[in-house]
Amino acid sequence: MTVTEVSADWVLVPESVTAFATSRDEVRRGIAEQLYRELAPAVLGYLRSQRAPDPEDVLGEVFLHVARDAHRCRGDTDGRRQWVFTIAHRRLVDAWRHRAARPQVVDGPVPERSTLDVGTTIIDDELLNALDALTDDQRTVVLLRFVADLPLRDVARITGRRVGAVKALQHRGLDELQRALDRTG
Amino acid sequence: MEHEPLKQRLHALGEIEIEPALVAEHLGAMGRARRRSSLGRSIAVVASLAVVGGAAIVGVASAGSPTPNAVSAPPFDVPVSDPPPFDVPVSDPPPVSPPVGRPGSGRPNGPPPFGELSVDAEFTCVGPPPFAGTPAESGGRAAEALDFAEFRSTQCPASDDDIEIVVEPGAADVDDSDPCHGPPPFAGIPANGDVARAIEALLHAVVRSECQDDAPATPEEAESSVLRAVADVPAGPPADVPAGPPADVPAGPPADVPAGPPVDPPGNGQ
Repeated sequence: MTVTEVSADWVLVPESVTAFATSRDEVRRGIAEQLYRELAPAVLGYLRSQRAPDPEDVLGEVFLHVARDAHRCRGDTDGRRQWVFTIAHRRLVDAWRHRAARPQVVDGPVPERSTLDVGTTIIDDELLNALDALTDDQRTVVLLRFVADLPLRDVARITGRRVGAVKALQHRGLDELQRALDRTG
Repeated sequence: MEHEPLKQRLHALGEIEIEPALVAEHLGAMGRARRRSSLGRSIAVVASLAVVGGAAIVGVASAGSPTPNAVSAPPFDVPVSDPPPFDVPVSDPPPVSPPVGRPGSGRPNGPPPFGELSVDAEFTCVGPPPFAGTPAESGGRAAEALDFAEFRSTQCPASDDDIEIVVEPGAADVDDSDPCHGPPPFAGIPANGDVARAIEALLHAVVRSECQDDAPATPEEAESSVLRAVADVPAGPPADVPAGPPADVPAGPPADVPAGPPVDPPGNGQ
Protein backbone atom coordinates (compact mmCIF):
# COMPACT_ATOMS: atom_id res chain seq x y z
CA MET A 1 0.00 0.00 0.00
CA THR A 2 1.36 3.36 -0.97
CA VAL A 3 1.46 5.85 1.85
CA THR A 4 2.11 9.54 2.00
CA GLU A 5 2.89 12.01 4.74
CA VAL A 6 0.03 14.45 5.28
CA SER A 7 1.05 16.30 8.39
CA ALA A 8 2.76 15.87 11.70
CA ASP A 9 -0.47 14.54 13.18
CA TRP A 10 -0.83 11.72 10.73
CA VAL A 11 2.44 10.12 10.01
CA LEU A 12 1.25 7.50 7.61
CA VAL A 13 -1.98 7.87 5.76
CA PRO A 14 -2.95 5.71 2.82
CA GLU A 15 -2.71 7.50 -0.47
CA SER A 16 -6.16 6.29 -1.39
CA VAL A 17 -7.45 8.47 1.44
CA THR A 18 -5.62 11.61 0.46
CA ALA A 19 -5.86 11.36 -3.29
CA PHE A 20 -9.15 13.24 -3.63
CA ALA A 21 -9.25 15.00 -0.29
CA THR A 22 -9.64 18.75 -0.59
CA SER A 23 -9.57 19.72 3.05
CA ARG A 24 -8.11 18.58 6.31
CA ASP A 25 -11.53 17.58 7.55
CA GLU A 26 -12.03 15.37 4.53
CA VAL A 27 -8.70 13.73 5.23
CA ARG A 28 -9.86 12.90 8.72
CA ARG A 29 -13.11 11.54 7.44
CA GLY A 30 -11.24 9.48 4.90
CA ILE A 31 -9.02 8.03 7.61
CA ALA A 32 -12.06 7.04 9.71
CA GLU A 33 -13.77 5.40 6.76
CA GLN A 34 -10.62 3.57 5.81
CA LEU A 35 -10.25 2.29 9.36
CA TYR A 36 -13.87 1.20 9.36
CA ARG A 37 -13.49 -0.83 6.17
CA GLU A 38 -10.28 -2.41 7.42
CA LEU A 39 -11.15 -3.15 11.01
CA ALA A 40 -14.93 -3.14 11.48
CA PRO A 41 -15.31 -6.91 10.79
CA ALA A 42 -12.67 -7.78 13.38
CA VAL A 43 -14.11 -5.30 15.88
CA LEU A 44 -17.60 -6.71 15.39
CA GLY A 45 -16.28 -10.26 15.78
CA TYR A 46 -14.51 -9.28 18.98
CA LEU A 47 -17.65 -7.63 20.35
CA ARG A 48 -19.86 -10.61 19.51
CA SER A 49 -17.39 -13.08 20.92
CA GLN A 50 -17.36 -11.07 24.15
CA ARG A 51 -21.17 -11.27 24.27
CA ALA A 52 -21.51 -7.53 24.04
CA PRO A 53 -25.09 -6.29 24.31
CA ASP A 54 -26.17 -4.94 20.90
CA PRO A 55 -22.75 -5.43 19.30
CA GLU A 56 -23.76 -3.52 16.16
CA ASP A 57 -24.65 -0.49 18.25
CA VAL A 58 -21.38 -0.74 20.14
CA LEU A 59 -19.57 -1.02 16.82
CA GLY A 60 -21.22 2.22 15.71
CA GLU A 61 -20.17 3.96 18.93
CA VAL A 62 -16.61 2.76 18.49
CA PHE A 63 -16.28 4.22 15.04
CA LEU A 64 -18.03 7.43 16.02
CA HIS A 65 -15.24 7.84 18.52
CA VAL A 66 -12.72 6.97 15.82
CA ALA A 67 -14.22 9.60 13.51
CA ARG A 68 -14.10 12.29 16.21
CA ASP A 69 -10.52 11.55 17.25
CA ALA A 70 -9.08 10.62 13.90
CA HIS A 71 -6.64 13.53 14.19
CA ARG A 72 -5.06 11.74 17.16
CA CYS A 73 -4.44 8.61 15.17
CA ARG A 74 -0.71 8.16 14.71
CA GLY A 75 1.57 5.45 13.60
CA ASP A 76 1.42 2.71 11.05
CA THR A 77 -1.22 0.08 10.39
CA ASP A 78 -0.43 -1.84 13.58
CA GLY A 79 -0.62 1.35 15.63
CA ARG A 80 -4.02 2.24 14.19
CA ARG A 81 -5.29 -1.29 14.81
CA GLN A 82 -4.15 -1.14 18.42
CA TRP A 83 -5.77 2.30 18.84
CA VAL A 84 -9.11 1.15 17.41
CA PHE A 85 -9.21 -1.98 19.55
CA THR A 86 -8.35 0.01 22.63
CA ILE A 87 -11.46 2.10 21.96
CA ALA A 88 -13.49 -1.02 21.24
CA HIS A 89 -12.44 -2.69 24.49
CA ARG A 90 -13.35 0.39 26.51
CA ARG A 91 -16.73 0.73 24.82
CA LEU A 92 -17.31 -2.94 25.52
CA VAL A 93 -16.60 -2.47 29.21
CA ASP A 94 -18.95 0.53 29.21
CA ALA A 95 -21.68 -1.58 27.58
CA TRP A 96 -21.23 -4.32 30.17
CA ARG A 97 -21.51 -1.82 32.99
CA HIS A 98 -24.56 -0.22 31.41
CA ARG A 99 -26.27 -3.59 31.05
CA ALA A 100 -25.40 -4.54 34.64
CA ALA A 101 -26.92 -1.30 35.87
CA ARG A 102 -30.08 -1.67 33.76
CA PRO A 103 -30.93 -5.33 33.21
CA GLN A 104 -33.42 -5.87 30.38
CA VAL A 105 -36.34 -8.24 30.57
CA VAL A 106 -36.91 -10.00 27.25
CA ASP A 107 -40.40 -11.25 26.53
CA GLY A 108 -40.95 -13.95 23.96
CA PRO A 109 -39.74 -17.44 23.14
CA VAL A 110 -36.13 -18.36 23.68
CA PRO A 111 -34.55 -19.96 20.59
CA GLU A 112 -33.46 -23.54 21.04
CA ARG A 113 -30.15 -22.87 19.34
CA SER A 114 -28.60 -19.50 18.85
CA THR A 115 -27.59 -18.92 15.29
CA LEU A 116 -26.01 -15.67 14.27
CA ASP A 117 -26.42 -15.05 10.60
CA VAL A 118 -24.37 -12.08 9.57
CA GLY A 119 -24.69 -11.56 5.90
CA THR A 120 -23.50 -14.76 4.31
CA THR A 121 -21.26 -15.72 7.23
CA ILE A 122 -22.38 -18.25 9.81
CA ILE A 123 -20.89 -17.61 13.20
CA ASP A 124 -19.06 -20.53 14.78
CA ASP A 125 -21.61 -20.98 17.50
CA GLU A 126 -19.83 -23.95 19.01
CA LEU A 127 -16.71 -21.89 19.50
CA LEU A 128 -18.70 -19.01 20.99
CA ASN A 129 -20.28 -21.33 23.54
CA ALA A 130 -16.88 -22.83 24.36
CA LEU A 131 -15.52 -19.33 25.01
CA ASP A 132 -18.03 -19.03 27.84
CA ALA A 133 -15.97 -21.58 29.77
CA LEU A 134 -13.03 -19.16 30.01
CA THR A 135 -12.58 -16.53 32.63
CA ASP A 136 -13.11 -12.95 31.57
CA ASP A 137 -9.39 -12.22 31.53
CA GLN A 138 -8.57 -15.39 29.56
CA ARG A 139 -11.32 -14.70 27.06
CA THR A 140 -10.25 -11.09 26.56
CA VAL A 141 -6.63 -12.04 26.00
CA VAL A 142 -7.47 -14.90 23.63
CA LEU A 143 -9.85 -12.77 21.57
CA LEU A 144 -7.52 -9.79 21.37
CA ARG A 145 -4.67 -12.05 20.35
CA PHE A 146 -6.44 -14.14 17.70
CA VAL A 147 -9.60 -12.29 16.65
CA ALA A 148 -8.18 -8.77 16.76
CA ASP A 149 -4.82 -10.16 15.66
CA LEU A 150 -2.83 -7.98 18.05
CA PRO A 151 0.67 -8.78 19.27
CA LEU A 152 1.35 -9.61 22.91
CA ARG A 153 2.72 -6.14 23.58
CA ASP A 154 -0.47 -4.39 22.43
CA VAL A 155 -2.70 -6.81 24.32
CA ALA A 156 -0.67 -6.13 27.44
CA ARG A 157 -1.12 -2.39 26.91
CA ILE A 158 -4.88 -2.63 26.39
CA THR A 159 -5.49 -4.92 29.36
CA GLY A 160 -3.03 -3.14 31.62
CA ARG A 161 -0.95 -6.25 32.29
CA ARG A 162 2.61 -7.29 31.74
CA VAL A 163 3.53 -9.27 28.66
CA GLY A 164 4.39 -12.32 30.74
CA ALA A 165 1.01 -12.27 32.41
CA VAL A 166 -0.70 -11.96 29.04
CA LYS A 167 1.26 -14.89 27.72
CA ALA A 168 0.26 -17.02 30.69
CA LEU A 169 -3.39 -16.04 30.32
CA GLN A 170 -3.26 -16.89 26.63
CA HIS A 171 -1.74 -20.31 27.29
CA ARG A 172 -4.26 -21.25 29.98
CA GLY A 173 -7.12 -19.82 27.94
CA LEU A 174 -6.30 -21.85 24.85
CA ASP A 175 -5.96 -25.00 26.95
CA GLU A 176 -9.31 -24.38 28.62
CA LEU A 177 -10.96 -23.57 25.28
CA GLN A 178 -9.66 -26.76 23.75
CA ARG A 179 -10.98 -28.79 26.68
CA ALA A 180 -14.38 -27.13 26.37
CA LEU A 181 -14.53 -27.95 22.67
CA ASP A 182 -13.51 -31.50 23.37
CA ARG A 183 -16.29 -31.83 25.94
CA THR A 184 -18.94 -30.58 23.55
CA GLY A 185 -17.57 -32.39 20.54
CA MET B 1 2.24 -25.43 16.55
CA GLU B 2 0.04 -26.05 19.52
CA HIS B 3 -3.69 -25.17 19.16
CA GLU B 4 -3.18 -24.11 15.56
CA PRO B 5 -6.63 -25.25 14.33
CA LEU B 6 -8.18 -23.49 17.29
CA LYS B 7 -6.37 -20.26 16.46
CA GLN B 8 -7.60 -20.49 12.89
CA ARG B 9 -11.18 -20.83 14.11
CA LEU B 10 -10.73 -17.88 16.43
CA HIS B 11 -9.28 -15.78 13.62
CA ALA B 12 -12.31 -16.59 11.50
CA LEU B 13 -14.53 -14.89 14.11
CA GLY B 14 -13.02 -11.57 13.07
CA GLU B 15 -13.66 -12.03 9.37
CA ILE B 16 -17.34 -11.33 9.35
CA GLU B 17 -19.06 -9.76 6.42
CA ILE B 18 -21.01 -6.76 7.68
CA GLU B 19 -24.35 -5.95 6.11
CA PRO B 20 -24.09 -3.07 3.62
CA ALA B 21 -27.00 -1.30 5.28
CA LEU B 22 -25.19 -1.34 8.59
CA VAL B 23 -22.00 -0.07 6.94
CA ALA B 24 -23.90 2.78 5.31
CA GLU B 25 -25.58 3.66 8.60
CA HIS B 26 -22.30 3.72 10.48
CA LEU B 27 -20.46 5.70 7.82
CA GLY B 28 -23.29 8.22 7.67
CA ALA B 29 -23.21 8.63 11.42
CA MET B 30 -19.46 9.14 11.28
CA GLY B 31 -19.84 11.84 8.66
CA ARG B 32 -22.49 13.62 10.70
CA ALA B 33 -20.33 13.38 13.79
CA ARG B 34 -17.46 15.11 12.05
CA ARG B 35 -19.71 17.85 10.72
CA ARG B 36 -21.26 18.39 14.15
CA SER B 37 -17.81 18.57 15.66
CA SER B 38 -16.71 21.17 13.12
CA LEU B 39 -19.92 23.15 13.56
CA GLY B 40 -19.61 23.07 17.34
CA ARG B 41 -16.03 24.25 17.17
CA SER B 42 -17.01 27.08 14.82
CA ILE B 43 -19.79 28.16 17.17
CA ALA B 44 -17.39 28.11 20.10
CA VAL B 45 -14.87 30.24 18.22
CA VAL B 46 -17.53 32.80 17.23
CA ALA B 47 -18.88 32.95 20.78
CA SER B 48 -15.44 33.48 22.28
CA LEU B 49 -14.70 36.22 19.75
CA ALA B 50 -17.97 37.92 20.62
CA VAL B 51 -17.17 37.80 24.33
CA VAL B 52 -13.69 39.21 23.81
CA GLY B 53 -14.98 41.97 21.51
CA GLY B 54 -17.72 42.92 23.94
CA ALA B 55 -15.26 43.11 26.78
CA ALA B 56 -12.98 45.32 24.71
CA ILE B 57 -15.85 47.69 23.82
CA VAL B 58 -16.92 47.94 27.44
CA GLY B 59 -13.34 48.61 28.47
CA VAL B 60 -12.93 51.42 25.92
CA ALA B 61 -16.26 52.98 26.94
CA SER B 62 -15.44 52.89 30.63
CA ALA B 63 -11.98 54.33 30.03
CA GLY B 64 -13.48 57.34 28.24
CA SER B 65 -16.01 58.22 30.93
CA PRO B 66 -15.02 60.42 33.89
CA THR B 67 -14.42 58.75 37.17
CA PRO B 68 -16.68 59.83 39.99
CA ASN B 69 -15.35 61.73 42.95
CA ALA B 70 -14.47 59.81 46.01
CA VAL B 71 -17.06 60.54 48.67
CA SER B 72 -15.54 58.66 51.53
CA ALA B 73 -13.10 60.66 53.56
CA PRO B 74 -9.91 59.08 54.73
CA PRO B 75 -9.98 57.83 58.32
CA PHE B 76 -8.99 60.45 60.83
CA ASP B 77 -6.44 58.88 63.04
CA VAL B 78 -4.19 61.89 63.59
CA PRO B 79 -5.06 65.01 65.57
CA VAL B 80 -6.69 67.69 63.50
CA SER B 81 -4.44 70.55 64.54
CA ASP B 82 -1.19 68.62 64.63
CA PRO B 83 1.22 69.00 61.77
CA PRO B 84 1.63 65.94 59.63
CA PRO B 85 4.35 63.60 60.78
CA PHE B 86 7.49 63.76 58.76
CA ASP B 87 9.41 60.59 58.43
CA VAL B 88 12.12 61.91 56.12
CA PRO B 89 14.21 65.04 56.52
CA VAL B 90 12.45 68.03 55.04
CA SER B 91 15.73 69.64 54.07
CA ASP B 92 16.52 66.76 51.74
CA PRO B 93 13.41 66.18 49.70
CA PRO B 94 13.46 63.90 46.72
CA PRO B 95 13.63 65.54 43.31
CA VAL B 96 10.24 66.79 42.30
CA SER B 97 9.40 67.55 38.73
CA PRO B 98 7.39 70.69 38.06
CA PRO B 99 3.67 70.07 37.93
CA VAL B 100 2.37 69.41 34.50
CA GLY B 101 -1.03 68.63 33.12
CA ARG B 102 -2.52 65.33 34.14
CA PRO B 103 -1.92 62.70 31.50
CA GLY B 104 -5.07 61.77 29.76
CA SER B 105 -7.12 64.65 31.08
CA GLY B 106 -6.41 66.83 28.09
CA ARG B 107 -5.36 69.70 30.30
CA PRO B 108 -2.39 71.67 28.97
CA ASN B 109 0.45 72.82 31.15
CA GLY B 110 -0.46 75.52 33.60
CA PRO B 111 -3.66 76.24 35.43
CA PRO B 112 -6.88 75.55 33.59
CA PRO B 113 -9.58 78.17 33.08
CA PHE B 114 -11.83 78.67 36.03
CA GLY B 115 -14.85 77.28 34.27
CA GLU B 116 -13.19 73.91 34.18
CA LEU B 117 -13.99 73.52 37.84
CA SER B 118 -17.47 72.44 37.04
CA VAL B 119 -16.42 69.82 34.52
CA ASP B 120 -13.18 68.57 36.03
CA ALA B 121 -14.37 65.40 37.62
CA GLU B 122 -11.10 64.43 39.26
CA PHE B 123 -9.95 67.51 41.15
CA THR B 124 -12.49 69.46 43.10
CA CYS B 125 -12.27 72.10 45.76
CA VAL B 126 -14.68 70.12 47.93
CA GLY B 127 -14.07 66.78 49.44
CA PRO B 128 -11.07 64.57 49.84
CA PRO B 129 -8.52 64.19 47.09
CA PRO B 130 -9.30 61.56 44.50
CA PHE B 131 -6.30 59.53 45.55
CA ALA B 132 -7.52 59.25 49.14
CA GLY B 133 -7.75 55.62 49.98
CA THR B 134 -5.26 54.48 47.38
CA PRO B 135 -2.10 53.00 48.81
CA ALA B 136 0.78 55.40 49.10
CA GLU B 137 3.03 52.88 47.44
CA SER B 138 1.32 53.32 44.10
CA GLY B 139 3.56 54.84 41.51
CA GLY B 140 1.44 57.72 40.30
CA ARG B 141 0.37 58.98 43.69
CA ALA B 142 3.25 61.44 44.14
CA ALA B 143 2.57 63.16 40.83
CA GLU B 144 -1.13 63.16 41.58
CA ALA B 145 -0.54 64.75 44.97
CA LEU B 146 1.53 67.48 43.33
CA ASP B 147 -1.21 68.15 40.81
CA PHE B 148 -3.83 68.22 43.49
CA ALA B 149 -1.91 70.63 45.68
CA GLU B 150 -1.33 72.96 42.74
CA PHE B 151 -4.98 72.73 41.79
CA ARG B 152 -6.24 73.63 45.24
CA SER B 153 -3.78 76.46 45.69
CA THR B 154 -4.47 78.06 42.31
CA GLN B 155 -8.02 77.16 41.35
CA CYS B 156 -10.07 76.98 44.51
CA PRO B 157 -11.78 80.25 45.46
CA ALA B 158 -10.69 81.84 48.70
CA SER B 159 -14.18 82.35 50.04
CA ASP B 160 -16.11 79.36 51.15
CA ASP B 161 -19.28 81.09 49.99
CA ASP B 162 -18.26 80.45 46.40
CA ILE B 163 -18.15 76.72 46.96
CA GLU B 164 -21.25 74.67 47.06
CA ILE B 165 -20.72 72.18 49.81
CA VAL B 166 -22.71 69.04 49.46
CA VAL B 167 -22.85 67.12 52.69
CA GLU B 168 -23.77 63.49 52.49
CA PRO B 169 -26.58 62.47 54.84
CA GLY B 170 -25.06 61.20 58.04
CA ALA B 171 -21.63 62.51 57.23
CA ALA B 172 -19.66 64.44 59.82
CA ASP B 173 -19.95 68.22 59.62
CA VAL B 174 -16.33 68.75 58.74
CA ASP B 175 -15.13 70.88 55.86
CA ASP B 176 -12.59 68.60 54.30
CA SER B 177 -11.95 70.92 51.41
CA ASP B 178 -10.23 73.57 53.50
CA PRO B 179 -6.54 72.80 53.38
CA CYS B 180 -5.95 75.15 56.31
CA HIS B 181 -8.13 73.15 58.66
CA GLY B 182 -8.95 69.59 59.15
CA PRO B 183 -6.86 66.53 58.67
CA PRO B 184 -4.30 66.33 55.93
CA PRO B 185 -5.27 64.32 52.89
CA PHE B 186 -2.79 61.63 53.80
CA ALA B 187 -4.27 61.12 57.24
CA GLY B 188 -4.70 57.47 57.89
CA ILE B 189 -1.84 56.37 55.70
CA PRO B 190 0.85 54.88 57.90
CA ALA B 191 4.16 56.67 57.81
CA ASN B 192 6.28 53.72 56.83
CA GLY B 193 9.00 55.72 55.16
CA ASP B 194 7.74 55.90 51.60
CA VAL B 195 8.74 58.86 49.50
CA ALA B 196 5.30 59.61 48.10
CA ARG B 197 3.85 60.27 51.53
CA ALA B 198 6.80 62.45 52.43
CA ILE B 199 6.24 64.57 49.33
CA GLU B 200 2.60 64.86 50.20
CA ALA B 201 3.43 65.91 53.75
CA LEU B 202 5.83 68.53 52.43
CA LEU B 203 3.24 69.98 50.10
CA HIS B 204 0.68 70.03 52.84
CA ALA B 205 3.09 71.86 55.11
CA VAL B 206 3.60 74.51 52.39
CA VAL B 207 -0.16 74.94 52.02
CA ARG B 208 -0.58 75.23 55.78
CA SER B 209 2.17 77.83 55.99
CA GLU B 210 0.24 79.92 53.47
CA CYS B 211 -2.82 79.57 55.66
CA GLN B 212 -1.03 81.44 58.40
CA ASP B 213 -1.16 84.60 56.28
CA ASP B 214 -4.61 85.14 57.75
CA ALA B 215 -3.03 85.42 61.21
CA PRO B 216 -2.18 88.89 62.61
CA ALA B 217 1.08 90.17 61.22
CA THR B 218 2.15 92.37 64.18
CA PRO B 219 1.85 92.06 67.97
CA GLU B 220 -0.38 95.13 68.03
CA GLU B 221 -2.81 93.55 65.65
CA ALA B 222 -2.75 90.41 67.73
CA GLU B 223 -3.49 92.36 70.89
CA SER B 224 -6.34 94.25 69.28
CA SER B 225 -7.83 91.07 67.94
CA VAL B 226 -7.70 89.55 71.43
CA LEU B 227 -9.38 92.68 72.91
CA ARG B 228 -12.08 92.48 70.24
CA ALA B 229 -12.65 88.87 71.09
CA VAL B 230 -12.93 89.68 74.78
CA ALA B 231 -15.32 92.55 74.09
CA ASP B 232 -17.59 90.21 72.23
CA VAL B 233 -18.08 88.15 75.36
CA PRO B 234 -21.13 89.43 77.34
CA ALA B 235 -20.53 90.61 80.91
CA GLY B 236 -21.74 88.68 83.91
CA PRO B 237 -21.92 85.06 84.62
CA PRO B 238 -23.33 82.69 82.14
CA ALA B 239 -27.08 82.57 82.06
CA ASP B 240 -27.26 78.96 83.09
CA VAL B 241 -25.34 79.51 86.35
CA PRO B 242 -27.66 80.39 89.30
CA ALA B 243 -26.81 83.36 91.46
CA GLY B 244 -25.69 82.88 95.03
CA PRO B 245 -24.07 80.00 96.81
CA PRO B 246 -25.11 76.47 96.20
CA ALA B 247 -28.23 75.42 98.07
CA ASP B 248 -26.52 72.72 100.11
CA VAL B 249 -23.99 75.11 101.67
CA PRO B 250 -25.27 76.76 104.92
CA ALA B 251 -25.03 80.53 105.20
CA GLY B 252 -22.54 82.17 107.58
CA PRO B 253 -19.24 81.01 108.97
CA PRO B 254 -18.58 77.46 109.93
CA ALA B 255 -19.85 76.45 113.35
CA ASP B 256 -16.40 75.76 114.82
CA VAL B 257 -15.15 79.31 114.17
CA PRO B 258 -16.04 81.81 116.98
CA ALA B 259 -17.82 84.94 115.98
CA GLY B 260 -16.14 88.31 116.20
CA PRO B 261 -12.60 89.42 115.56
CA PRO B 262 -9.77 87.21 116.61
CA VAL B 263 -8.42 87.93 120.09
CA ASP B 264 -4.71 88.44 120.39
CA PRO B 265 -3.08 86.24 122.97
CA PRO B 266 -2.21 88.05 126.24
CA GLY B 267 1.23 89.52 126.65
CA ASN B 268 1.59 90.50 123.14
CA GLY B 269 0.42 94.07 123.41
CA GLN B 270 3.39 96.42 123.23
